[in-house]
Amino acid sequence: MTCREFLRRRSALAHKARPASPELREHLAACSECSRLEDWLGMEDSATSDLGGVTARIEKAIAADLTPIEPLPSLEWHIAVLSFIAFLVAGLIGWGLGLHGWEEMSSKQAAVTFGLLPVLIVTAASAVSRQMTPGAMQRLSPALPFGVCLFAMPFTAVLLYSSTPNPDFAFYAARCWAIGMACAIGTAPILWLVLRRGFALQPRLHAASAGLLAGLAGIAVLELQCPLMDASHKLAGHATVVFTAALIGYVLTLVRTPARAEV
Amino acid sequence: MEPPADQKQLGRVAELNLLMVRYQQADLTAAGALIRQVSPLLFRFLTSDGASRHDAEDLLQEVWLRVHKARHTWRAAEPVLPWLYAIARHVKVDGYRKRQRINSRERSLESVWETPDPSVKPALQAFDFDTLVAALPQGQREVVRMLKVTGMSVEEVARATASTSGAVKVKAFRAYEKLRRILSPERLKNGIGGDR
Repeated sequence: MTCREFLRRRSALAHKARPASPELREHLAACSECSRLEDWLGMEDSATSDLGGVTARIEKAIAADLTPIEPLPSLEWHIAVLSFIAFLVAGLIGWGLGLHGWEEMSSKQAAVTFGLLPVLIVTAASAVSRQMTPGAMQRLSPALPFGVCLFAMPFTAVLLYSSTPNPDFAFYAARCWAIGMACAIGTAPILWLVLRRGFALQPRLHAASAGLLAGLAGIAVLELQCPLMDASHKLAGHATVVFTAALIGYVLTLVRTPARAEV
Repeated sequence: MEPPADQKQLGRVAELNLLMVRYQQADLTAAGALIRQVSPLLFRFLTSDGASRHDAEDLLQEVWLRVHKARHTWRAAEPVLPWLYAIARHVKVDGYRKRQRINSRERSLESVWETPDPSVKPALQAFDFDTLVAALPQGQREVVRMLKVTGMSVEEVARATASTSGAVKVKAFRAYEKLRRILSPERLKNGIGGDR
């Protein structure tokens, strides 16, 4: 076993866990440098300090405001509820406006679009839910939904649709953008009812992520109701809803009151 | 696969979790016990990277105020230390930025009065933790501190630092590589530094 391999396997262990595998112990017996590192990792670190006065003040401050609280529901519950809200809003509004987009799509276009959107919604809901709780396990980077939207949407638009010149391009793009934003802005307060109990350590990222989720609900409405099967229109009028909604979420945290300061 | 932690560590984790549950139920005795047990660890964490004792005490109080405000976000099925350290970490970053802003205004005056003597090497203790980890980049330093001082597992450190287990392992690997070189007798004799 090389030193590199030893370090690679050692870095996967908690520092106080002694290497149990015979291979690792054999390497330690043969390598003085790795053995020295292992000895150092195993040394006790004194973490005690005389904090009697400080802890007494802290206890007193907490005692003045100590009431029973109800812990947050599980992470899975939050992901399910947030996703459900996005799906429900998209479904109800899309159905209300008429499923013209769904009717115009080919099987392939529908399969990709409505296969990808739910995945994006659940991924965004997962990112938002995890950010509500300090110390939540991050399976994937919180920035992943942004990255996926940034690349997946243009990619699928170009892949699935062709671009045809349209003299009223700006009008229809603005119209769809406005509808999508209205849906996103309408979804946001419902999401907030769930998210308000959280304690995001990065409120700006959290608000942008929540905005992204609301924006995805808006896009879902547009894909259901908009009959224009044009790549440029999809990018300009639909995809931009997501990023605008995320940006609005971010900007709102810049103007919030000082009481909700960034942790 | 990570071997099981020793029984003492498991018992401590279970005790802290129980105290936190009772704290959520407004048990002041449990809250006090939790504060007294965890504060030394948090204080140690907060004094790293150059914070004075006075600053660290202020940060510690700030940490517990935020813990109190956010106590409803901890779930009993999850370990409590990563949750506490995630909050402490952000308070520490805020405190560090504030100190930097203050120090940047004061540095010019200090430089007039104190000129370091380049011929004097700081005294080094062979295995002084803070001296050794100071040579690591900030991300690796943080991971090693959490792994070694708190005894948290890789997954728990990942939770506390809002990253993935894979990212923590990579940082730990690179840190151990560097520390292994630093711990060589020749290196300790000649001094540590410049190896970031």
